[in-house]
Amino acid sequence: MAIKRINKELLDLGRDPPSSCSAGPVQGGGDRANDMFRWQATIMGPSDSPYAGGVFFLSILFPTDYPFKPPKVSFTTKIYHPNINANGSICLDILRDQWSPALTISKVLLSICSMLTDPNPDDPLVPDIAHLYKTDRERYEATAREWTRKYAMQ
Amino acid sequence: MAQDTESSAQSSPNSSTIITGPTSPHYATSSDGTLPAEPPTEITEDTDLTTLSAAQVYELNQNLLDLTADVQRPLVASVAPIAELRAEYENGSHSFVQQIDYLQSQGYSSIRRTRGSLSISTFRIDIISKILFMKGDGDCFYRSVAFAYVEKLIDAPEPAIAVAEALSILEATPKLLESVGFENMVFEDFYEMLDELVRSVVSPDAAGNTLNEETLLKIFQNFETSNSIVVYLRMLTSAQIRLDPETFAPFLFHPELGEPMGVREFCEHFVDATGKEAGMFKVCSSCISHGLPFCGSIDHVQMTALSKILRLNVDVAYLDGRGSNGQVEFVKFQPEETSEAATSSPICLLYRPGHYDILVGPRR
Repeated sequence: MAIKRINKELLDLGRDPPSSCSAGPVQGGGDRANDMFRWQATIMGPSDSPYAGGVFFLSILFPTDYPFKPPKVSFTTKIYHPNINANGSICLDILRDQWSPALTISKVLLSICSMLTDPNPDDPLVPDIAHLYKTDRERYEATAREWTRKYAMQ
Repeated sequence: MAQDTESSAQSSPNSSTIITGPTSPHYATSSDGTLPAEPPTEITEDTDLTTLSAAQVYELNQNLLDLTADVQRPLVASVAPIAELRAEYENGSHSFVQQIDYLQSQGYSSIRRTRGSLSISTFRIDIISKILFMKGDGDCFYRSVAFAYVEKLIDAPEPAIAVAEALSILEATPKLLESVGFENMVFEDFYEMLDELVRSVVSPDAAGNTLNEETLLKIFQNFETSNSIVVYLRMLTSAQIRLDPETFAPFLFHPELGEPMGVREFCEHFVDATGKEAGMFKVCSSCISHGLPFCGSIDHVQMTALSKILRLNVDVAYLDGRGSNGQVEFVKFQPEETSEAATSSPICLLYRPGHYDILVGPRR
């Protein structure tokens, strides 16, 4: 069932790609069937955020009991954000206890995009960045822009 | 065991004040805007256990024990005499034992246990993100309804007619789901499984067999099939609430904050999200009319919605130690129409704090 659903999502992404995101199976590597569980995604930094102009890569790992369990999604590009830590782990409710089989990778990526524009400092993964976001927005934005230039523009 | 189950009724609200989700008011940031150093507001995979208070560790441990006991049981079990349940309470609560005796005296001689979807493989993640906040994951309610719904078709005096009626209701549901925004690709596999299961009550398989209680049990013990149907019933419930906001909106409250919630927000948080208990301690119309301030872990909003969309009568027996003279209150959920469904015999669930099973009553 997982493979069937993952294929449907891939078809749908091809037919109706969300703006500013893309995703698909990791190219190359070993066993083909296995590869369908391992995707790569890209997100363009939203223009109304300090991540504008950056291209961020993410890795997606579908569990074998997808869609009953959420996909594991993490940033592989370094990013300065209150809800994303140094390992690229993302603190987003729909990737945890708010996951629903009614959600899709497309919707997950859109949620991550909107999280880039509107961080959630009240549920921080990196408390220092959340604190800065709340108390000195300008400095947070400058650092986020700097990291974007350094790590997400090549 | 008996004490565990009973005490969960009291300990659950406690646990939500000891270790609460990020949205809880209990650990708001302090006045200078900094986050409190401890205790942590949320226990995650990265939490250092040494930073937890003794109460938190105790709570975590209790939840672990409960969960390990739970994941070893089948998703749906064979019918067992209600005396088995009584034995579990004999050293614990007298009022529960009294209520079980009452059920037996009314002809409810057996139960069929069901459970949520937590599995060993996802144990670690589940314990961290869910178990601290809620007992059970709410799936036991949907699984109980689903099983009893199909079993009722098998037991119908004229299964062919019962199946045809059920199919005519089910066939309209994909359109309803799409009308409230569910994409076809997220539900069609689940729909097909339920549709096929209902058809198999009268349509023989390749070997010439139609569905019986034994094969139904096997099907519901399979993780994928069982949970596909559970998810489809969740989606139907969500759709019914979204389609009829006037009826449901007044009763949608956040279970922890007690604040009113929008229909969409409620459905996304408490119906669509799998493995999320549907809202402990929520005020609802039925509870008020019965003089109860609160109801069970899956609230009456969802039961009402599911009963309506499937046109199914659902009776819930509340084994909660609160009935007067050891009696058990039955709350009835009926679709409004004066259709045949409204007068047909109900499926019967047994509620215990935080959990639902199927109650087997006197056979007609």
